[in-house]
Amino acid sequence: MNSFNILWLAVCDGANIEIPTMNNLYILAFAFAFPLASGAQTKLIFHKSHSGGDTNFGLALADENNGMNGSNFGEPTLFGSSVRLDSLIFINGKATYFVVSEISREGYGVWDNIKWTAGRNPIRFQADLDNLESIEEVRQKLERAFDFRNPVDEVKIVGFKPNKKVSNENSTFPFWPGNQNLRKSISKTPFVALWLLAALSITIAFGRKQLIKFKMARPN
Amino acid sequence: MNSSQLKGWNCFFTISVYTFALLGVLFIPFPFHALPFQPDLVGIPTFPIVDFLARSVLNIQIENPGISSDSTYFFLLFALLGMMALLIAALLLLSQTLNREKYIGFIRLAIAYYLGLQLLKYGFGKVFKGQFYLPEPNILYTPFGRLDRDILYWSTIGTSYGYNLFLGLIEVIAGSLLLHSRTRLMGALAAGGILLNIMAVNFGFDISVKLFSTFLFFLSVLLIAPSAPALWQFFFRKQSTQVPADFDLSKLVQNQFWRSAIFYFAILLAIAESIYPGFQSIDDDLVARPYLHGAYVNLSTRAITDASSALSIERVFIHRRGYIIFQDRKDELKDFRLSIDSLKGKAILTDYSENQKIVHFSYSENGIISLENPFHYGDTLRLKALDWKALPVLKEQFHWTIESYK
Repeated sequence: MNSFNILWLAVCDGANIEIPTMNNLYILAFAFAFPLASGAQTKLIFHKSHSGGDTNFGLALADENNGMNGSNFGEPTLFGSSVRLDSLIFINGKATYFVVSEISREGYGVWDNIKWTAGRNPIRFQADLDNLESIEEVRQKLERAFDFRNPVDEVKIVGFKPNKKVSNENSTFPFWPGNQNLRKSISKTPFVALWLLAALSITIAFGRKQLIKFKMARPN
Repeated sequence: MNSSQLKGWNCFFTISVYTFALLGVLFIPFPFHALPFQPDLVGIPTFPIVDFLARSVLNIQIENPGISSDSTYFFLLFALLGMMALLIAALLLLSQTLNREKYIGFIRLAIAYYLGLQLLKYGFGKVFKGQFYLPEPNILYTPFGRLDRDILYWSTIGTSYGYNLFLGLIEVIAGSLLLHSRTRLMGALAAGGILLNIMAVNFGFDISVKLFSTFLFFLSVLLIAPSAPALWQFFFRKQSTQVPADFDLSKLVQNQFWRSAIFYFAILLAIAESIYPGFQSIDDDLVARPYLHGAYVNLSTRAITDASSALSIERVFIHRRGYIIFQDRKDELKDFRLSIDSLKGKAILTDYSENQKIVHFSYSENGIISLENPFHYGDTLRLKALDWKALPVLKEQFHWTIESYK
């Protein structure tokens, strides 16, 4: 389990886990280092960026799934998948569980409607991950068919048994799917960040005070 | 004139103006990364009143009302804040307990930090290429004259990384100067110039951040105002002068330790908030786009020969944020929200009325995508990727001399 998972599980509702006593700032910095894309727009410019017509703007505003919710005042907004896939578990040669940790930013997922929750997600849909020849092929499938925010090379694949039967690669569309159900989840990460910043500020102020004391106490 | 010397209507006006500025800082719903709950939070007290003003008082009926940049409700929010400012100023003066110097000083401090934060945010947004991003392929293939001025301006600026860097760094410098009392006047003067230009761009290119940019300019004017007589004397009368000392935290917080802590917290928060997008991507132009994002030309012979077709599609674009756009031979564009069922080989196209069209697709190794024509069932589009990044507008070109053009 990496630092981000620890941070996520610790600050969000999904799991009950103790944070190891390690440098919180390091965890936070690690959490920040995930590849979301940013793009700034006003709602109108976002609408026009995908060639939306003037007559449809009112309808687009009313639609929660239009992706413009984060756009306002021309400020950079972040978008990208909110889901990190930690591992894929095969049982009896069949892909059975996705183990994911969620990142509660305003994720932008439009490519499919899969609802993920932190932890084990039983694979209820036809994932097309069974009967593959190699782990590389599984990773390739994962990359093409899902929109996870971490590189597929980082995903642990457990219990995989190679199969000689080759699936028809061309039958799937190589695209980025994703999810859009996490958009409404509220992150506690900003609160953690604020507390850490406050703690850091007090530490700096304390350090400064000690430095002044030290300078004053030092004989000329 | 010192704020404690203000009298009568002049005093009422000054207190009202500063109160309005403070209310704006507090109640404008802004998408902060560190405070993502702020828009919802400030909407709790303001939205019902604005809604009441619109529907019952002004009889304005809006289908999907919301307080966002340059929406009708955003203008009404400013009107509401103006009325509240007048009321609060009247109450404060009637109570006769107001320490005017401290009150105005505190607001000036809040304004300076807010404006500094905004300039840092917008500045780093440009530095990281997050604000004016690389134009989407569908914009690049839309004829110039068919684009509205706002998206045209946004896209044009988005093509030059160097200019973004310049604009961004200027804003970052002005924002940084505002955070320290010694350099605040210089920062306010720089901010005033920058924001005046932004206002001119927003009005001139019809960009829907007119009211907010005007508000930010107003804040910079408020910061400069007390020093205006001294500046006039210095620049136009060539006389030596002294600008009035600005209010600082020491007059609010006596304890030096807590004063330092608050100061560092404000600085760290402003920096963290501003550079956060940079942790995601230093240069948004280089961030990987979704698979198959781009522009495609339709190779289907039917589309080329059959001019009578209801919509003979010439190009198809996949937008970075989940849209598919069809361009016909007359350059008319039609966009749909796109959802892909990659397992069943279906693309789900949703229009603005929530009507869905499900079309089949397949992908071949030679790079051709076969996509069922959503406007003409039974017809299939054969799509080949266009090298949209090779378009002249995206080429890295710089010429010192005209002879270097070849």
